[in-house]
Amino acid sequence: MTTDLHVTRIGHSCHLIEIAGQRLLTDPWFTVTPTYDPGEPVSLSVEQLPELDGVIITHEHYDHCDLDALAGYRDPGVPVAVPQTVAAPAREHGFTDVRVLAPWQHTGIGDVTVTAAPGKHGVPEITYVLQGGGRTIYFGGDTLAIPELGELPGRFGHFDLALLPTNGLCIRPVNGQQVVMNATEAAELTAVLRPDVAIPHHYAFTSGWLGDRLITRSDPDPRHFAAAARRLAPATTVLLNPPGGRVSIP
Amino acid sequence: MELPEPALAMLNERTEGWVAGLRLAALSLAGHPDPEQFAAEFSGVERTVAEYLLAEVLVRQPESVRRLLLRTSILERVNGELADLLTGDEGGEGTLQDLEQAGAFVASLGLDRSWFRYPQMFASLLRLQLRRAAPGEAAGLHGAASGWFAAHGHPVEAIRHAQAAGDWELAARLLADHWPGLHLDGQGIAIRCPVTLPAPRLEPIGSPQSEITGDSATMTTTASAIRWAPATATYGLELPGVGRVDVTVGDRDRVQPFLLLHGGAGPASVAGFGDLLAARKHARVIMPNHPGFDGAPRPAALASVAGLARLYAALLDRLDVWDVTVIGNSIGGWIAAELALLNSPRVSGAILINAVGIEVDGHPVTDISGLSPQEVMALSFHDPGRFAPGPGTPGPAPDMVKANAAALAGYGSRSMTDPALLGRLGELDLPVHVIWGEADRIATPGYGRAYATAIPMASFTLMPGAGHLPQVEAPEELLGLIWDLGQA
Repeated sequence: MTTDLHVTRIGHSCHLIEIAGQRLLTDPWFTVTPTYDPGEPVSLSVEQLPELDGVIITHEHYDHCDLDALAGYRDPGVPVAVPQTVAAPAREHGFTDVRVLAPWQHTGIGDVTVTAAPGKHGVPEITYVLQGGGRTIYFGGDTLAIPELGELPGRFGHFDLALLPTNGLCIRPVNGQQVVMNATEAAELTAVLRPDVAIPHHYAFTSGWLGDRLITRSDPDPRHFAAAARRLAPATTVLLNPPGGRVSIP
Repeated sequence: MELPEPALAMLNERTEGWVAGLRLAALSLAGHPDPEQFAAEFSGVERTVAEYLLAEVLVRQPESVRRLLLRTSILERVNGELADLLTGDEGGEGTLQDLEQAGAFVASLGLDRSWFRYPQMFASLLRLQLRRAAPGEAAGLHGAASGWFAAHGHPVEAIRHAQAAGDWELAARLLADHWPGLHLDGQGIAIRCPVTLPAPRLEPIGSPQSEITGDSATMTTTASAIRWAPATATYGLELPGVGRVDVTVGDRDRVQPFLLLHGGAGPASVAGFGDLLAARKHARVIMPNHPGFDGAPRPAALASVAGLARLYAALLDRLDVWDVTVIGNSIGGWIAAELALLNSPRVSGAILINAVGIEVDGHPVTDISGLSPQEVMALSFHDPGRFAPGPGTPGPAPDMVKANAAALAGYGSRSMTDPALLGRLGELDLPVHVIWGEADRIATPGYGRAYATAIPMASFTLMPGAGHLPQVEAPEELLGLIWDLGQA
């Protein structure tokens, strides 16, 4: 017996997930600055958010952890799952129910089990598995594709949905070091997870005209992931979900 | 004097029945040993005729009329604005109308008496006289005429005049800008160039020396100079501790503008895609709400799709935007086609997405007028169940679909077609790209292919995973497709 599963992309890696009758917000980002521009519309403001049952945050970077904006959310008691590095900032922004997780630790939000999975980025990052109502979701934040993620199918079984970063972000000043998985790596991870549906995120982001040329380098075309996944993970349906799009997973 | 019947007929054709011309021909014929050969070779530049013209016709005209006739003789057709451009005078239209009224040299083309032409023989005489009276001026006149025709959406004439002016660079640029529509379009344009054409240069056009300041500058003005006249403005800014500072600023804004036209599903059906296009590609996206839709008022006299197209041509004039790519979906695609047919110099291309408007044998447009919103959605989407209305989610609201169907009827487009449109599409001389959601059951892919086939040089792309509204169902893929056009 499975329950309805919907996901609405608000913008970048910020999704509103409806699972097991609960509404969970991922990696909040609502504020646009000149060098942190989502490069796509932000489809909902904090004020327009529906009643949330929980928030999950992967790391402290501004484009995933917009606590300044989220502090305007109407209920400071909403459960917020975070890695250790975000615990203090979350509390300082007034959130009273902060759940600190390390990889493979879990917490319950309503009928949904929120489990931290490993992640690797320029700063400490965790990713998440959400389970409830017979459905399972992987939320990849903006991690690199690391071998530890190969454990996910053994631990959680079938995935209904995977939300994956795809822009292969590289930081030019540190020898072009890659900090996010790219389209091909995301397709390889998709082949491992074998979800029914995969939705890319974290691709339209821009550091500004000059920033894109001097600081960051990334692939802004989500179709590259769709094409790679068709080749490497043909059993998975890839949906390019624009901001504001609400996808129902059958 | 007597002429054999065939020779008489030929003379009549050459002179286009122009009485004075026949008289000129008769003068030249007097004493000619072989009248039939003369008639066959008669072109109006015979010395006798030219002398008569000088003596009897031009000399009796006021200086301004003589100037107008000589300088506009390089044109296949002339209107008042062109006459003023080439003479540097004013009142050309009145002069042309007076000449036509007098029945002398000028014939009007069309009922509104704005375009005129000279009988071929008369024009030949005038050009001969122009070469004599003002040698070397013809090239400048052709250049100016080329600029005017290019700026007013007549690329064929623009290119012909650029060639005549010997301005190969301009001719090449015009050809590069317009070739998709011109090529094999029955307009038979061929660049006759003594040397290899220079490749079109990718450089900002509209340099400071192209300001339109006076007569001589006007003569060398090209279309691009008219279109891209540099903008400067002076701003008075208040700076704390300093006070008011006046700064004069040169402003060069060539952000790519798009005119995005919605269909019967209403403004909401393109708003999300417009946002995506603007944010992702840093483009300017102009999205008019068609009068009558979403509760907006509509004047009763605005009752056709062609009328809407004229409205948006006026909107582009008002906004003063150039190089506009018009994107239209469904009825919006029809409006886009009509707008492209208006030859607005501001429109540089059109993208028709599951457009309606034409009639295609064997591929009727589904009549949705009696259907429920759910039935319309079922016909419209590849996967009607995928996008359900969610919290704060933009998208096609069923009620709005129904309300806007009524608005649609106000444009007399209940049948979604104009029987004459298919044939008129052959006149399009703009680059057009036709994109079709494969699962469309309102206007099928076969219908879409017919649309593209009817437009000279149009390309056609079938989009899987989308129906009648690809910008709603697969906006990311649609945006990618449109951008791929630049990579092909």
